[in-house]
Amino acid sequence: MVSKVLKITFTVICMIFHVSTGWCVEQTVVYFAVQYGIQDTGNPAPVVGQTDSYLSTLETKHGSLKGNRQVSPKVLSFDFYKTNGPVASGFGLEVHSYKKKYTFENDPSQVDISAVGFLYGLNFYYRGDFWFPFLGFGTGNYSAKVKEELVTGSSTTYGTVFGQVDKPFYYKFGVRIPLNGLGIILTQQYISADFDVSTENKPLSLGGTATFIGLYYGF
Amino acid sequence: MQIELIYCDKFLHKLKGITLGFIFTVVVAKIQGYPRYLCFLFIYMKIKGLLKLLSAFIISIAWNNSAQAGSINSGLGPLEIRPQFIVSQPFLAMTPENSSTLKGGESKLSVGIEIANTFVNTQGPTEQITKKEVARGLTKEDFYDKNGDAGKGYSLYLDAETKRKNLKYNYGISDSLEFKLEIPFLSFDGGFMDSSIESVHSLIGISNFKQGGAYRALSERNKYDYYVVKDGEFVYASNQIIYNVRGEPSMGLKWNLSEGGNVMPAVTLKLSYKFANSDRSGEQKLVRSGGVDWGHYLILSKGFDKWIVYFGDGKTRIGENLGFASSMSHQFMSLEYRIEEEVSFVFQSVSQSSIFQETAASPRSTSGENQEQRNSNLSVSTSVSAFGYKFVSGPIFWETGFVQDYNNFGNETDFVLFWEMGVHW
Repeated sequence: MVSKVLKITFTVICMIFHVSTGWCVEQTVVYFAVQYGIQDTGNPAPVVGQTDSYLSTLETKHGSLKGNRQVSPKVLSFDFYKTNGPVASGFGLEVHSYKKKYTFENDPSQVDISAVGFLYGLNFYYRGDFWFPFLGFGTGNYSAKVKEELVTGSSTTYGTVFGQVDKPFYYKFGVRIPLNGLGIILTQQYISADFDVSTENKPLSLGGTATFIGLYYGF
Repeated sequence: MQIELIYCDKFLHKLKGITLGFIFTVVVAKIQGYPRYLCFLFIYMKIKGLLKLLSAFIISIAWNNSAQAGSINSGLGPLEIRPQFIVSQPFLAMTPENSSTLKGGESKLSVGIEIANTFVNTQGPTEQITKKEVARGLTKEDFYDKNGDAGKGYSLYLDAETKRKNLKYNYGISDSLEFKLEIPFLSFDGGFMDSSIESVHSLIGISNFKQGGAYRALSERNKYDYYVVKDGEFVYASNQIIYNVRGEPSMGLKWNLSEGGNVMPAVTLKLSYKFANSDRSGEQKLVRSGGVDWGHYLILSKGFDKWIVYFGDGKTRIGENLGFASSMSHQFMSLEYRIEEEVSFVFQSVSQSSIFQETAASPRSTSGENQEQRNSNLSVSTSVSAFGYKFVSGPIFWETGFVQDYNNFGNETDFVLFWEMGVHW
């Protein structure tokens, strides 16, 4: 079912884009954007994501997490589009970075996570009069560092794990509201990026469901 | 606009546990009254039950006036630079390449040099290896944990500049099939870049006494030392500079399956094969594996006017792994901006799995950070970014640029400069 939905979506995108070449006025547009927002790493990306188990495994030993799984990434992005009348297709690069410290209810154990995602993929646009909705999908890589300090009774175990997620997958949709070169961008993004933490041999989601708002500059 | 599905069929094929799926679709679209017949062949992989859309590749065959004329899906191509980490130098490594091939009967001959500065000191955090220990000569005990345990996994002290000189010849067998032969010559020495790299670190606020600066300040500049320890025993222990030692030659075939169109990307399959030279006496053991390696890259490229995007995904199988990884996976993404027809700037990102295989080194300890814990992190995948310039003038072509490791996991070069020049006829 999942693969069928993706196949149909991808086919439709290809066909829409293909037939759009019948329109005219070609132009290339470049955008730089800075975005900020909330990403819920505990809420897996629909269809492509799955629930992780690294933190929940630690919860069974050290008590529930204090706080939630939300992180606040900063996102820098660069996109270019080749327009064909009201529709456009293009390619984009994004750098996501965030840090988060988790603590537990039952003891002073803590886990520090820092992650940097370098994502890239295809984007598709509709150029309306006042707003430009878009959707996109892609891959890239996530680099992460997980630093553990886990307390069990009177002993403390330490662990520092580096690693990379080689083939994350993301899809997103959103809108650009142009205001003379500068503009506002709103993005809803879903990222599947499971990092295997070798200390527990369990996956930790570095992606999840994210909502970003920011400014862009186009030329 | 009317779109009509004429025919659609799918079939699956299982290959070594990976399910390959094929969907064949024919549609007719009427645009402004003119019918356009389109034929798609989707090929996808099911990995662990999940469809990885971007690991799929798509071949489109279109006929009639399917809006393909005039599209360009390849330019001067990605930066053709292989991983330069000193430990992986004896093995085959795949280079990103253009999706287009030489035309039948055409040839290219080039020379190039890749200068890579690598500095890794897994004993840096405990200051077990500093200028003093290097001056007296390193022993395997220097790589043990502070409490004297040999520890599991790989420990490293790499302070080297590698210079890989390549002689390359490419020949167009047909308009879509290209043959390549490459012979490398390798030098390992102390180089000249340490001082500049440390200055750049200081300039951007990275301490050369800490992990971010790879503990460079603990060592002399521009010295050559190459020590790799696995499970407490030396794999390599060398501080004798080597010059222009011939590595093992490799050959390759590149097949452009489709040039793509306005929608579909160009698709190319690249295969490489490294010959084995069993003479590994003396210094040759540092640059030859003595085994046959082979690898592949599947390359997609898509043009958006002056911008061209290239993707590659592949794997290298190592025949004689000498205690390192027996295979390496790699991906690249390359973004080319064509300033003019003959001049391009290229940004590139390459990810690859580690040359260090997973070991029994424990990532946890009860006494703070320890040696084994640090060793365990050497087996993770890593990435580098590259920036370069490509230029063509008549029969002469030129490529230059640099590569920077941004993960700092200790299993990649710090900084690479590369340059290639050749003739095309």
